[in-house]
Amino acid sequence: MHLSSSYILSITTFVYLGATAVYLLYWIFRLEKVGLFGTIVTVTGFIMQTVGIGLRWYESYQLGYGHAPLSNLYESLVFFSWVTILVYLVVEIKTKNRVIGAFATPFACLAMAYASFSPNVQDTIQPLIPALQSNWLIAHVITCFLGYASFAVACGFGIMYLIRGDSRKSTSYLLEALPSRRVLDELMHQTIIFGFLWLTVGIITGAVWANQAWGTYWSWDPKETWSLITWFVYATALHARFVRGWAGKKIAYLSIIGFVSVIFTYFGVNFLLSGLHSYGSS
Amino acid sequence: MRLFKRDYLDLGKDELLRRPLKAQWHTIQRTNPRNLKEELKKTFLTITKRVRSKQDVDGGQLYLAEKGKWSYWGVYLIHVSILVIFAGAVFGTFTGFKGRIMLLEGESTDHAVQMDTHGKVKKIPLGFTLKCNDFKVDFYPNGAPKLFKSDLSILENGQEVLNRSILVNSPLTYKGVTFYQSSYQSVPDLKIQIVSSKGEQKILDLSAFDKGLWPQKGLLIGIIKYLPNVHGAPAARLYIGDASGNQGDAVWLLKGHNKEIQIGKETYRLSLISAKEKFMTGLQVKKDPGVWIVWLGCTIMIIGFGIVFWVGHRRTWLWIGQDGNRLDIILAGQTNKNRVSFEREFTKIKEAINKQLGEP
Repeated sequence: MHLSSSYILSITTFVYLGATAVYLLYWIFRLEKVGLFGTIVTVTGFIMQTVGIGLRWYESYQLGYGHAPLSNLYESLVFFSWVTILVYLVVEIKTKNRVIGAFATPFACLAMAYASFSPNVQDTIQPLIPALQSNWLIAHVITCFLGYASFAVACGFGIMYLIRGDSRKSTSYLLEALPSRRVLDELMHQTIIFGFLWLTVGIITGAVWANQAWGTYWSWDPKETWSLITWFVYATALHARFVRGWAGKKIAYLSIIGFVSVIFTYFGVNFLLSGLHSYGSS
Repeated sequence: MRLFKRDYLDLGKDELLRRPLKAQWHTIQRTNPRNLKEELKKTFLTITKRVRSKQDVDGGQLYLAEKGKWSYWGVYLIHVSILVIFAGAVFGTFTGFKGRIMLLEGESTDHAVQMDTHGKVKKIPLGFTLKCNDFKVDFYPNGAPKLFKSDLSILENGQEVLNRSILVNSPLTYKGVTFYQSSYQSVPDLKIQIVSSKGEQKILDLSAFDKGLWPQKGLLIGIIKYLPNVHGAPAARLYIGDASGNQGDAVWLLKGHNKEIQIGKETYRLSLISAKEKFMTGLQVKKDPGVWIVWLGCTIMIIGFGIVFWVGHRRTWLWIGQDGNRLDIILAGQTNKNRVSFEREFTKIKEAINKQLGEP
């Protein structure tokens, strides 16, 4: 049987689904072996996905198109899920807490499921139209999605923070396993900073590219406007923390609101509003 | 700002012991404590580089090595960068322009066209002449566009000074004016033969935006619509009438089929001899002297983020007090970023002092 990239990538969906299930089991039963297995499953999925992306890149050359797999909705979803897992794995290594996996892997799994099984998303490799034929494509998409994925993970932390409850009060068996509120707050803050930096660079690379392709670095295209709105949401969160000393619950809500804005920037704009980024919708 | 202004040498012994990183020694009797003091100071200086000191702090001497205090300014840099970007955008709006040029292959122009919000057309002189030599469009097998390419020449006083092809992502800049490939149109280029009932004949070259004239007969012909393929042959709908515009008619002409039409008292036989397609390239024209200010702002912003998120304010204190022939030593440290690498540096100093004191 011919092993195509989209086949490998669709299997990755199930591997991430499995990883989510194992991390949930780990959360419930708290057996170190189960947790380790969760990491192994996630890393396996990550390697498969990396191979899938690489193969897709190779396939595009075989078709005579030859471009990095970052050019349409399908490819961006795959890449989003890949970066989310990457950011999560870094967090896992740094914090040595695997329960976080139960909150981060679902994002990657959902993105892959949507990419692979939604009838709205075409998984065929399409050639690059002239506007996309630029090296800025890679820089722009990678930086934006590093931002998006960090915000997804930050949103995961926000949700964890809100269900964690006050650690001084007696908490249930399940909530105990989550990192402490102080740690979650710090992680949330760091991932937001990391995402914010990349979103900023993503917007700037987009502006440089637009200036080169169309002669306007900013044209109030819906995608541009919404990415700016997202940028302001996170800028607000950072200012609230630095200036007003906001932390914890309020930042957790902001990180969730911010991610809703990311989702809208990513999908909503493609489907509801037309504009320069419309090639991202099929 | 408060953090920046604060003098971190203005601390007492007790405050040093409240820092996140600290070490304390209490030496045994020494024959020459003054010498040891000097040596300790030297060690501290070689590892930490710039050191300030203060006498008589709780009966001892306090040394402070500070690094990255300026990082508190990073946050201002970010906010200033936003102003720089706005300044660049405003400067560009007032000193530059944006316009469009539509050029048929072979055609040239010395101005761009700008449409204001009321739909009024304004001509902006370029200061030189731009010529489109050729336009090419290419498609992928699936029908998606693959390439839009215009071969452009810049002419100064009728002399060609520059010749280059532009693509969508690769514009041409000359004297601060940049030309971007933005669109194209295909335009019919027809050859039409007209024969009058008296046997006089005329061949007219017609393109979409021109009118063809037969002055001797007072005839005017224009293209209304062009279809490249009607049952395998090109077809055009033409307007034909007298030059005064009093009489006229529209007629479909299919290649290979003649058509007769009566204008006034005369009958003409029309035939389409050849039909070609010509391209018209659509260029976006821009002059924006402010764009570099915008890029400068973006760069400052990224540098600002780098400083705010990665450069920490590191403080290392060394306090040496003398108690007879014994030395009292306190080493303390604090940072607001990247604790791990700071701790490594701190341990290095600690070990060096241990070695000097002859302790394990």
